[in-house]
Amino acid sequence: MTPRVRPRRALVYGDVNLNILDGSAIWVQSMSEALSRAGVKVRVLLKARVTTDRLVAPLRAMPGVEVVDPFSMGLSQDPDELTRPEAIRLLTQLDEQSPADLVVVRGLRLVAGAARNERLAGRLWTYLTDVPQSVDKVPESTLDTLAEIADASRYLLCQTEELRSYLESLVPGAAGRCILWPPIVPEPGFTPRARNLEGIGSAQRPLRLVYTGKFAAAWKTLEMTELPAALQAAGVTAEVHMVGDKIHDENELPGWSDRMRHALEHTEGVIWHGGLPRQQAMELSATADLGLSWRDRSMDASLELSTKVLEFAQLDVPILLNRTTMHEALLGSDYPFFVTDTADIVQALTAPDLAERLDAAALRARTATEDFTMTAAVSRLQAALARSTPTAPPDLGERLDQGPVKVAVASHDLKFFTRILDHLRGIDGIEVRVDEWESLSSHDEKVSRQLRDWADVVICEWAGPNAVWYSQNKREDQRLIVRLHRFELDAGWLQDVNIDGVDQVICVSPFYAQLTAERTGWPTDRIAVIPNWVDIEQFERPKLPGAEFTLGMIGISPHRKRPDLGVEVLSLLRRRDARFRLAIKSKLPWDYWWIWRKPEERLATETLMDRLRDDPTVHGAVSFDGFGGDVAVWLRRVGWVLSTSEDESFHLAPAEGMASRAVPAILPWPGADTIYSPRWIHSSPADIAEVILDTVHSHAWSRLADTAFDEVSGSFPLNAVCDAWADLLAENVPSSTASRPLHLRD
Amino acid sequence: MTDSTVSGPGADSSTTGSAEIEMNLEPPESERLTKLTGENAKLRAEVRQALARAQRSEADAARVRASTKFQVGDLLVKAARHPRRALLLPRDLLRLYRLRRHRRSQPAAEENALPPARMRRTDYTDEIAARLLLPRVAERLDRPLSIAGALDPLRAAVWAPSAAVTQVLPHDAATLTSEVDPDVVVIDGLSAEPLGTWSHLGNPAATDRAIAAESLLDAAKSNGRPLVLIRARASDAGLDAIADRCDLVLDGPGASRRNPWQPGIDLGIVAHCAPWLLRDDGDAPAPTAVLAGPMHAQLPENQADIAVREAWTDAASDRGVRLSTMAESLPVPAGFLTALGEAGVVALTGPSSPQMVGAASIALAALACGRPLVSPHDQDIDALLDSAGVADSWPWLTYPAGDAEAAREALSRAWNYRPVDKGDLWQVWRALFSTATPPATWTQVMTQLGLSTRPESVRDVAVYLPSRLIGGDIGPSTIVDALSRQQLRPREILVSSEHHSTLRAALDDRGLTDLPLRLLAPDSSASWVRAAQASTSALIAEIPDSAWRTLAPLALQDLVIAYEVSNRSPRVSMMIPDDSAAFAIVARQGALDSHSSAAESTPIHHPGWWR
Repeated sequence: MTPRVRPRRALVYGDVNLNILDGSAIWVQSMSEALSRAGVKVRVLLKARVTTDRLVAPLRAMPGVEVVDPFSMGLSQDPDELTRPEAIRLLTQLDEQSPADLVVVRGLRLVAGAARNERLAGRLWTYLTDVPQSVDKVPESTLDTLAEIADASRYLLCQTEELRSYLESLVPGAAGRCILWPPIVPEPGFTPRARNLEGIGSAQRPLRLVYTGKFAAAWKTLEMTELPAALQAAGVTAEVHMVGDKIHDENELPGWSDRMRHALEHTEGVIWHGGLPRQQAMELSATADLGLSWRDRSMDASLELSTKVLEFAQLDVPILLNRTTMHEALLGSDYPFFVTDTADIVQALTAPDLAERLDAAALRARTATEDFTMTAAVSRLQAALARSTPTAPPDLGERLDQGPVKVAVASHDLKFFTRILDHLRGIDGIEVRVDEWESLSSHDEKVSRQLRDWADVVICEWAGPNAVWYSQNKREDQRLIVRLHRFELDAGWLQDVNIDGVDQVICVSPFYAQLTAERTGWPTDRIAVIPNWVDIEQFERPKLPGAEFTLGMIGISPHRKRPDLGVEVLSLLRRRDARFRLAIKSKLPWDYWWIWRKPEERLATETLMDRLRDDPTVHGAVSFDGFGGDVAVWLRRVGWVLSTSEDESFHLAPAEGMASRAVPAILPWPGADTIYSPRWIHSSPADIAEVILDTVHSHAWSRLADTAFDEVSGSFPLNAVCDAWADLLAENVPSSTASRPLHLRD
Repeated sequence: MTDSTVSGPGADSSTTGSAEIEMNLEPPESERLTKLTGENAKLRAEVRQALARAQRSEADAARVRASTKFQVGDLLVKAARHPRRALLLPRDLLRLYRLRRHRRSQPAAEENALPPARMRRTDYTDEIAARLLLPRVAERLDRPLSIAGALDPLRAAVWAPSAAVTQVLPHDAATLTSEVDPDVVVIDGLSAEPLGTWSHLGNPAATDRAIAAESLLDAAKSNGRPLVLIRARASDAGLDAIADRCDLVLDGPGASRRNPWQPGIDLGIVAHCAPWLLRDDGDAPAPTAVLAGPMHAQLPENQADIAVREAWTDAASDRGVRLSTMAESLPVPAGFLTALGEAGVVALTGPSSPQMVGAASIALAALACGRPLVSPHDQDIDALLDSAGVADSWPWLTYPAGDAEAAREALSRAWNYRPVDKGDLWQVWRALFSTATPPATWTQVMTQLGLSTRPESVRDVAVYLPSRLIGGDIGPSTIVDALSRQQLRPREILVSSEHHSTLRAALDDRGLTDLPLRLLAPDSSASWVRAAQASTSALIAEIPDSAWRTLAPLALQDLVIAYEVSNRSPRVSMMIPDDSAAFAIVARQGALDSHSSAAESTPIHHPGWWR
């Protein structure tokens, strides 16, 4: 069986005037091209009446792209430019005519409006600009808007990992929805020729620096004109080639633009080429030894990348630029051409091995920017589309050929089911409705009966009273799937489940599948395992420096999670290496009233906190980093994820850590070895400490983390788990899954 | 939602919104749905309004808390409740007044600031329980300055002898800062380095840290405490938002030179790492290592620096010694002390730029311990050695940054250096004492903030005058002449009542009308205890009778330096060549606790002042 391939349709609106050639207009063009290349039918709604087809004509020429010109089509009430409400009205109208799978929108205020539109909400792919990029500068109202946008978006497209991290930490709803959408650098259309660096810096072979763009104080263009003289004084002959014709008026610097123009026209060593067409500018840049992207430090906190930097890199031209977090992440902290001031530049460009440095830097920059090509963008887009609008797996596809499948999900708590729900909803031909139980045992029976009558398949998330009700009230011709986690085994209601009415009981681990069979006496051929999922794409992010010295625990309440053993591991480590720290991401016991009311929990917590105060080996070395969905961001600074519980049904924390390229360290809670490879399971805190020390001190951490990543990628990645659930709608999962360790899965 | 904290049912259940129900029910239910949707919208609106009201109230409360009126009232209430605060009330009020004046003179960033970002997860269900997170805090009444904040452990250890230092962590920052109520709240850029207690603060990947820092700043502001940021690198734009909220931004070693400042070193390091320098006959043990490392560990190392270190490895090997690095795995400050203690030469790599603040702690420590230093040129070290008058004689060998061959050559020359001259060493100690030790450097901070707190009061010296002295050959005028020439002026004179009027008159004659005399109790207890009981100064000095007539102007200052290089021994005797009598100095608190009289005196050999 081949998977059912579904056509995908997109609406794109950039809230930008495509008559003006700037970064945001280019963005619309490249996004449309990427969608087109990914096989998506695209409709691009224009914001402004076309006055030049410089950008619109190429759009129209793209396969599968339709340009919707509301002015020529008489759709707009505005004469020349759409207002935001009008644009949203038209997007809705276009969607009503032919529903889109995704609606790509750009710009904070436009997106905010679209997010409040019920028809578009849920299918928005939003690209935010103008977000204040510092926590102290985000007004409450903007936070509310961002929260609304996050809730309404299928994806939030982030230009950089830094912006993604920032948004996810600031807006809880954004966690898990942010994906990377870096700038796309146009391919040059010519092959840059190799430079001859012999004698570079001499009068015969001057060092060639190039700048392209606007002339503005914050871009340090005036200071750039001083470089030939500064370098000459240090014995290096250099030329600065400057391309561009827009000289900014700097209100706070009277006379600046005059000085800039004078410097461009009269400075020895400065060659001003004026404005050049893009292609010519690129060809000129390709002949340079270094591109200039040196800027005022006030721009260093930006969370966006300069496309100029990427363009130079694609042309094999190394770049002279500020050292920022983002540039370090892109080029490496030891990149040789990070500069702060003229003295730095002179020092960097007078190094005796300049030619070798230039070659190495060019290669570094080129390699680092390979992810910014159109090819990479299309591939990234296809992966995102596969998740937002998934294709039905073969078994389900066969069933869908007979007609749509109606699925009811009954649960009081869907937190472990959300992504599966999203996946099922995204499959063409599946209709999903939710029977939302108010609590474990309380529901609106009328709603449940309606859904029972409507659905082809019922899924009970948690084997609670919902499973009892549906097993006793289901239709004969209806499939009933029950998912059992852990706590249900200790409750009394399972005996009331009519197991004959249940097609399959799904447990999350082989250990609990076996325990379920033992405790309930249900037929073993009806019990199978589909593991919890780990969203590898969300967790796999670059680690921050020092991660190998940071242990992490996710979830330390109640006390059976044994945070005290985590602290013991830390203490054992710090007695031999004081660099280790423990970060805890969790609510604390007092945040749960039903935990905090238990005297034994209070005692255990007080004992733990006493140790953190009194024991010098751990005092000040444990941070409580709060609770929230931004686990993937937090894991960027964590190198080891501890699982020290007495008992778990699955414990996702090690798996999430592995997906982030941290190494798991697990104590042998019952069933751990049916989920995780024994290589990660250790007999005691002392054993864990020993392994961590050996690994870090032998510089093997990174290699071990890669092994962990490979294991989790093969065991329970989100797409495989979702496909298994989709198939389950049509056919049972083999019961053999209940006896096979998850880490041995293909 | 990927958190796996709660395995029980219903905990933090994610909501499946009502919108979902709306979309999924059959047409017959549409009427009910319409009604529910309406109710839902109404309830949401009410919640939004209630939240808005709550936020407005919180903002009002925050405004009130930050107001001078409130802060003055708060200080008065605290003073009424706690005796210590009552003692400090005048100081606190003055500080509040000065700080307010200082802030008024700053650009009005605060007025233009937007409302602060919403902080997530700060409301505990059980606030009393949440206090379990807080470490125990003890007040250090003997410290003139209280510092709290996001600190680097090594710097905190260096400042600790001169100030009560509280390091806060992101999760306890706001509460602990309010609890400690320090004189100054500091965010040290070094704490944001990868292995720091506030690792990655300023990096968008640690926005949770930024939120915690905001709450720390809020807590400080609401208590009327000044905020200070110490930058540690040039490329720290991520801290700009914090800088905008601070009352003072300092540029420490490694940062761009805008408002350069030295966090300082503690001279007590000499006793730890080079105790032979304190003895007259002490020869340095044969060195076993060259300590090599980056001048600024927080800055990235480049390939050229690695090549320099490789060259040094070869050079050290040729001499049969090993190249050691800072033992980062040891607890702070043990790693620092151990590495320096075994090194014969300190060799540092790193960038060299006139725009960068230099004189990193490791370099200053090498100077204090008399170790030959190899490094790229550093204008701050140059200035320090110049001010000490030893620029030409001190074993500081520079090489062009990144030049491996020159670095190797410099190391070879450093290795052949003879031990530093004791006179030069004391000159360097004096320069460090005045400009690069915490009491001095924190005084600069207080001056910049316009506050009257005197960190240097840990060096206040009372001069103890035994009765025999005034009544004997020397006489009051000789004593007063000698004291008036002192570079470090005594804070007070301790004298028995019988000589009070004579001495007072002599002091007044010399214009020293504001130098107080404290009366010694006429009892039979040991002299140091009597002196301590009479004194209000941190230190008490006794000058030998034979020294008064020719007392050098640096004598008192050197006596305090002797106390500090001894690592604050309870009782220190400073021995002068060819003089059998010794200068003595004790810590007042130690004397009161009877430590000084019980303890052996620690001898410190001084080269004399005739050079």
